[in-house]
Amino acid sequence: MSLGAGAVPSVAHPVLRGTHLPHCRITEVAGAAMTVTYGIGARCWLPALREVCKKVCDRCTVSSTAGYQCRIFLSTNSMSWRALLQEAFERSVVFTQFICFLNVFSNHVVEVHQCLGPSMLPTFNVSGDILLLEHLSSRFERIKPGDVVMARSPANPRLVVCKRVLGLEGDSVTVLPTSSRGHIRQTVVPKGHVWLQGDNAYNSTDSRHYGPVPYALIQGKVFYRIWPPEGWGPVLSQPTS
Amino acid sequence: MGESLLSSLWLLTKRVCAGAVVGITLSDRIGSVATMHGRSMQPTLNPAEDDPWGYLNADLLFLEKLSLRTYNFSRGDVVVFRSPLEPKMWLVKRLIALQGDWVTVPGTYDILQVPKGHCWVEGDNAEISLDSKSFGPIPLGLMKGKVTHVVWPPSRFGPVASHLPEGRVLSQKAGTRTYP
Repeated sequence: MSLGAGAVPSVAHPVLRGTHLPHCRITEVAGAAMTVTYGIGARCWLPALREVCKKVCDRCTVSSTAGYQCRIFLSTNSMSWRALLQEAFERSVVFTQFICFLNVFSNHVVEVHQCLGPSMLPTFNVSGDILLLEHLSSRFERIKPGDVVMARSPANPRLVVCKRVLGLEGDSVTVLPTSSRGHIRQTVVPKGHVWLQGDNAYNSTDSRHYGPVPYALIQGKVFYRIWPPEGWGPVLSQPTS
Repeated sequence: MGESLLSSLWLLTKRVCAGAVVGITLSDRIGSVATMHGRSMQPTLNPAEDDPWGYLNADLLFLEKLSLRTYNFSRGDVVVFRSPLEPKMWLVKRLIALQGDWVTVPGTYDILQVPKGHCWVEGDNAEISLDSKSFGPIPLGLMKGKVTHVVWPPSRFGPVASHLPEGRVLSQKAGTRTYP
C-alpha cells in the first residue's frame, strides 16, 4: 500500500475498482466506509476532496476530514444517513475535545478573571478589571511576598478574592490597623499559611480580619491586566516593607 | 514508509493528547480515583493497614467532585481536602460540623463555634488522626472532593456511608446545606 509522493494509486475497493484518487492511499476499509490518507503531506480540504470524489465516482460521499486523513462513504444516495450520523458524531467529538481543552487550560494554566471591589485600589479599579491568572506558580510554590494573587475566601468558599501576599510561612509581617483606633502590630505567619492584604488598607477585608490564610486556598498569581484598555499591561510584584 | 510512520505517530500523539485532556476534565469536574494511606480513618477506610502487607492493600477510593461546584457538604460526609499546614498534602477525614455549629474539642472541655465558611473535620480513628483538634476549623475552600465509594480491593467494594458520630455537635443549624 506504500506509495511514493505524487503517485496515483488505483483504488482497491469493489465499488471504486479501477478509479483513481490523486495523491492518496486507502489505509482502512470497513463496510461502506473507507479512510484515505494523503501521501504528500497535504491536508485534506473537504470541498476539494468532494470535487475529486465526484469526478471519480458519483456514488460516494466524503463525510469528514481529520488532518491528513479523510473518510469516504460509498452509498446509493449522494449523502446517506450513515454518513450524516458519522459526521455529526465526529463533529461532536471534536467539539467536546475543544471544550475539554479550554477547561484544562483555564483550570491549570491561565485563566481570565475579574477583580471586583475597592480592596485593591489604586492597583485595580473598583469597577472590575479583567485580569489574567496563572496557576503554575501557585502549583509549584513560586509565590513570593509582593505578588498579587487570587484566593478562595476563607469566610465563603464560593468567593474568590484578589489580594497581595505580604508574607509567607515564617515571615514576620507588619499589620496595619483596620480602624482608626487600632495600632500597628507585628505578627508571624504560621506554617503552611500566607498573609494576604488589599492594597487599599482602609477598605479591604483581608487577613487582618480572618487571619492568615492556608496556602492551598491560593488559586493563582495575577500577572497581566487586559481590561480596561488604558491599564493594559503586566501586573508587577511590589516589594513589601 | 517513513512518511506513513510519521503520520501514524502524529495521529497517535494527537489521540493521546485528546484522551488526556478529556480525562483531566472528567477528573476535575465529575470525579476521580485516589489511593489513601494511613490509619486515621480506620475502621471505615484502610482497615488492613496494620498487617505488614497493609501498605500494598491500601484502599482505592472514588472521589466525587460535583459537590465542589456549590460547596454543598453535609455533616458526616467523608471528605478530601488539602492540608492547611502542608499545601501539597491531601487528607481524608470525616466532616463533623459546618459553620455556626458548636462542637466540643476532643480531650478538652472547650466548646467552640465553627466560624463562617469553615468546617470541623476529624478522623474516625481519633487516637492517631491529625485533624481539626490539632489545626482547628478549616476553610471549606480547601475541599477537594467527597469520598463516595471504595473501588479496590474488590472484597471491600461498596459505598462509603455518611454518618455523624453521636453527641459531637452540640447545636447545629437547621438543614445540611452550607450555603443557600
